[in-house]
Amino acid sequence: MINARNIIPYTVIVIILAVTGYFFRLNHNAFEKAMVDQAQTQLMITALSEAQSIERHSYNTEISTVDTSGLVKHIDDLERVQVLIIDDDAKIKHSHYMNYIGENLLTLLKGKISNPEWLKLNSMVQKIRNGEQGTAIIDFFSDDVNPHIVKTLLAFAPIHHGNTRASIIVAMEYDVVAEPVNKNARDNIVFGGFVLSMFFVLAASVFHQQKKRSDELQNLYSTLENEHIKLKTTQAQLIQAEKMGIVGKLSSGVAHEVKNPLMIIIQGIEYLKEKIKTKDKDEDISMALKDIEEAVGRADNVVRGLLDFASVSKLVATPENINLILDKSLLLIKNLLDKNNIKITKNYEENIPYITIDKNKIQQVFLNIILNSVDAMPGGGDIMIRTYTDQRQDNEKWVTVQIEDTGTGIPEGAAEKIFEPFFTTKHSKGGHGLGLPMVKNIIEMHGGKISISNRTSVNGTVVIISFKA
Amino acid sequence: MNKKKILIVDDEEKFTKYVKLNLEFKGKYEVRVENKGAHGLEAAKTFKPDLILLDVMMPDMDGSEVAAQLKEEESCKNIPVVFLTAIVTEQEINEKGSNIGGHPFIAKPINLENLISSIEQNIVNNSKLK
Repeated sequence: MINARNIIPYTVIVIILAVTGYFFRLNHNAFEKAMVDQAQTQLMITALSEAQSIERHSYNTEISTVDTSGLVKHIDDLERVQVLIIDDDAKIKHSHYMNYIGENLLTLLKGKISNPEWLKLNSMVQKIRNGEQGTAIIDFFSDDVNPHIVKTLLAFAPIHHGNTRASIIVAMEYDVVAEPVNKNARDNIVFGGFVLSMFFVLAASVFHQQKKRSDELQNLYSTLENEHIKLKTTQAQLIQAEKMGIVGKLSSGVAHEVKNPLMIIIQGIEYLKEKIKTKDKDEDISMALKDIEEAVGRADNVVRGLLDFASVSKLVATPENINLILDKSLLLIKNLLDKNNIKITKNYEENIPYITIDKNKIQQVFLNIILNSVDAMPGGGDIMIRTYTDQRQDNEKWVTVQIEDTGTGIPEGAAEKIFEPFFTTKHSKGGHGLGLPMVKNIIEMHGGKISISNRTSVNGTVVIISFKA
Repeated sequence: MNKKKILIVDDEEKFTKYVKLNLEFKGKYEVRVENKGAHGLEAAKTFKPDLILLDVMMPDMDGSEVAAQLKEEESCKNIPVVFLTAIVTEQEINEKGSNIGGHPFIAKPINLENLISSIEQNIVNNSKLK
């Protein structure tokens, strides 16, 4: 829709341009003006002299003129100069062209003049009626094969024609508009100009509207895109939660059905251990029972891991200081870190923004990551923990935890699989391959991000975990 | 020395059989087994155990319901109950502080040594409360 308020500024501009152009066209430059003034003076003198001559010699007219210095010159170019005598009713009493005599000047010129020029002609005739003398510049349409506009200087002065009053008009063509125009060209130009102006106004308005609309659409698109991303994220989290809910039920069932038989096996082993104590001690039987016991322990570990993995279906989130959660996690495994000669270096950002997280689950995440680092440094090593905030797209603040170690790093070809359930490089150490998938689930349930990679140029792994502040 | 009376209510018959054997083998315990939750309350009234090992998930009546009925019964309300559960996560242990509905729990599977340790500790704790 075109808003009228938006057309106004463009209309004003167009009118200013049109008026300026119009006056520029009519107001000649200084040189041309001087030339026209001179011609007007010449014609005026000619008209007055002709009038006196007519009065003296009746209709025996000889056209002559004087220059500005007063020297009378003969004008022989009758093609360019005409002398008319009209009465008060603008009826032509005398003309070089005999067929004009008796015609009304206004009627004769009506079709040869544009509307604005017609007004000027009328004004001149009115002055003639009032017995005034003067000059006018009027554009006439020529009747040639190639129609064009003829700019004509007219000088008029009252005379006595017999017993009646009349006026003499001396007209001289002094300029021809270069480009050919048809008879109604002037009107057409004006009308065309108006149409063009209106078109410009309309086009400008439409362009303005289109631009505004385009900007609005762009903004709308950006908003929709952001909303779409948010919805997709929420949807993904909901699907994940639902999936984890199903996995949770499934793993509960599995845990119940697997752990009870494991319990029977363990109690059976206990019974057998007691039994063989009382009889001849058989080392092989003792060893077999020990192996069975260890195997049960591994199976139990897997089921426990599955339960932990599946427990990420709901969050109890509250605003937390991530630095404190890291410290609590480190405190829980302090003995283990000391025992394994692990040195911790902390570089926490002071006054780090609180983030809304499930502190127990995030603690589980940190424990898992740090224990992985401990496993990767059997002879001891360093763990560097850094926290910081950074601004990402749309000026969103993110809180990031970076945990680096000096361990063996991720084995070649394992990087793409580390988040896959049951993928583990620590079978011999009882790894069940559910730790990092659980970590990833927990982070994603919080709308966070995690990346794990080898450190560049030095040994070790770097884990980067980020949450929206 | 009086043997401590232990009531085990669990639907896994083979498990209860071996636990009974192992505990009684130690010579310090008198063990009674019930494989249906609904029978747990009656057994508690008549057997008057020093501790009840109660399975959380049973087909006829779950452990928490049995525990609630025991609490309602005057003669049983002071008997310590220890839940046995297969479904427990590390986080639940962290969050609940080894408690389900105010009762301690043991995560299955558990070896005999830890089971006895848990039984003894809870009997002692309960006697302190009396």
